[in-house]
Amino acid sequence: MMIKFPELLLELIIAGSLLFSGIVAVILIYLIIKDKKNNEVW
Amino acid sequence: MFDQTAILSTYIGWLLLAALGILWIWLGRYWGKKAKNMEGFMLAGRNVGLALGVATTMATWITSNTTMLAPQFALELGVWGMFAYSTASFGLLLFAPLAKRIRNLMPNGYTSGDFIRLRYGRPAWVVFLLISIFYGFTWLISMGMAGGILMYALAGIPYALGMTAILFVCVSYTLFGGLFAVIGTDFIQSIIILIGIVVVGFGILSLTDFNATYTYLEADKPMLINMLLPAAIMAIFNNLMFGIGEIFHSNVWWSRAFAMRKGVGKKAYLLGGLFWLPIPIAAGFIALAGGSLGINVTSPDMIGPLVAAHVLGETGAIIVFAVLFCSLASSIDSLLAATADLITEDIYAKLINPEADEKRLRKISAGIIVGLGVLTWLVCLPRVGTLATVLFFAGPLVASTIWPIATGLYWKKASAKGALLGMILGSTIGLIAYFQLGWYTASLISAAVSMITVLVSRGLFKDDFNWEKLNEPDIKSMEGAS
Repeated sequence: MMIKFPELLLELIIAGSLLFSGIVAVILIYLIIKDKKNNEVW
Repeated sequence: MFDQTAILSTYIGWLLLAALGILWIWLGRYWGKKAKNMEGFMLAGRNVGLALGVATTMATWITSNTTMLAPQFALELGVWGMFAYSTASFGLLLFAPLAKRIRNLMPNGYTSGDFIRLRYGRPAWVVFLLISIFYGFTWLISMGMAGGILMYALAGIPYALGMTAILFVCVSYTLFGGLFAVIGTDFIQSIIILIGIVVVGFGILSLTDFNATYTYLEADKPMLINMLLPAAIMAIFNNLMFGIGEIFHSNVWWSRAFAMRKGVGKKAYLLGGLFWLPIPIAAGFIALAGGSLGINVTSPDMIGPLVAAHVLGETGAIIVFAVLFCSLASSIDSLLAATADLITEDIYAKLINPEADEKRLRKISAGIIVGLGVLTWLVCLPRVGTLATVLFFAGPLVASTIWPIATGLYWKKASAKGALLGMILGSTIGLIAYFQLGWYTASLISAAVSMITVLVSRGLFKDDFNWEKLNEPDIKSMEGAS
């Protein structure tokens, strides 16, 4: 018997991955601003 | 010639290519001014901060292979295919403690080859260099090909012209700016990639009926949503080993460990790995929608761009174009710089001309960057296979280096003979598995054989390494300072 991924779980994983990727972009911008303030970019 | 499947006009394609290309070359020149000496050119002054450190690990690891192969994996291996690709992030996570140890043990190190030479001696060093340079070159080819495929699929730009343009841009700015240019552009590229993936992903989720996609898969391709698809589960472990092998041995990652400020490397690799984890799922799921949308897939690695362009039209095609261009550039530049460093430092400076001064080394390094670009271009001209075929051929080779590297960094008793035999036996048996069993077993088998060899050799040969030997004096920076 084949066990399938439930539709809801699949949709949640995909939406969650997209949301997390968006948050990562914001975190990166925050980190560069913080490094710039502390003169620690390079 | 305009391809029937192209969504963007060739004119817009060239316009985007020119705009992004000019931007990267200009930034390369701008940041390149910081590179005052060889240490600056090769390692960005060993003072890279956390933000750039995280961004460069992420951007380099988000290759065209992530954004084009993840959808291909989803198309061929289903949901587990996307997860399998995500496991590549474990390589970054596991490299985090290694990055800290590398920086502490080798404060003056330049390349991964330096480590193997000092830790295991010349025979293992030669085998390692062969594997590492072959891998770097294979990765370059797979991305050069991806560039050509992308240009053709999205804008109808002939394969050879698109591929040439991308290689030209990447070679130019790496040549001008070295690792300063590579890491600086990586930050901007990672932001563009993330925003692009999120916009396209949510766009497709909202414009397509996920229920219809699931119903289509359930009826026509149930194996793609099977929780127990054996080949896909095997691919998870194979990809995991391949990813770890790629990162542990490659000078792309070692050069970043050397380049980051003390105390930054471990955090940067941990965050980079964590942040990278969802990208293959976010980029890969769109391929699952391909069947229900009735898209005719002529080449599996084109499924991602085709679905995005089909659903989101010209806007989607422009975003995908920018995302893929950034994915390509962020990895091609890193590979050009890291492979050129490896050849300059390990082959030219150590084997051919140990007396070469800094000025000479800089010239040689520039020549190697150009040479690598030209060689990649020549090999890419005839399209030799799908992206997976090209990339996974190197899998068993790099997987054989995992145990020699990891044990060499932590065990005084890890033996030089074990490292050498581990790489040779792991690569050989892994390649046999590649041809006899399938690509999805090769890295796994190679890593297992190498592990057994290294562990058995530790018991057989009584080596006792002195860690101080890894702290080689930095002749180049002393020359630069004088």
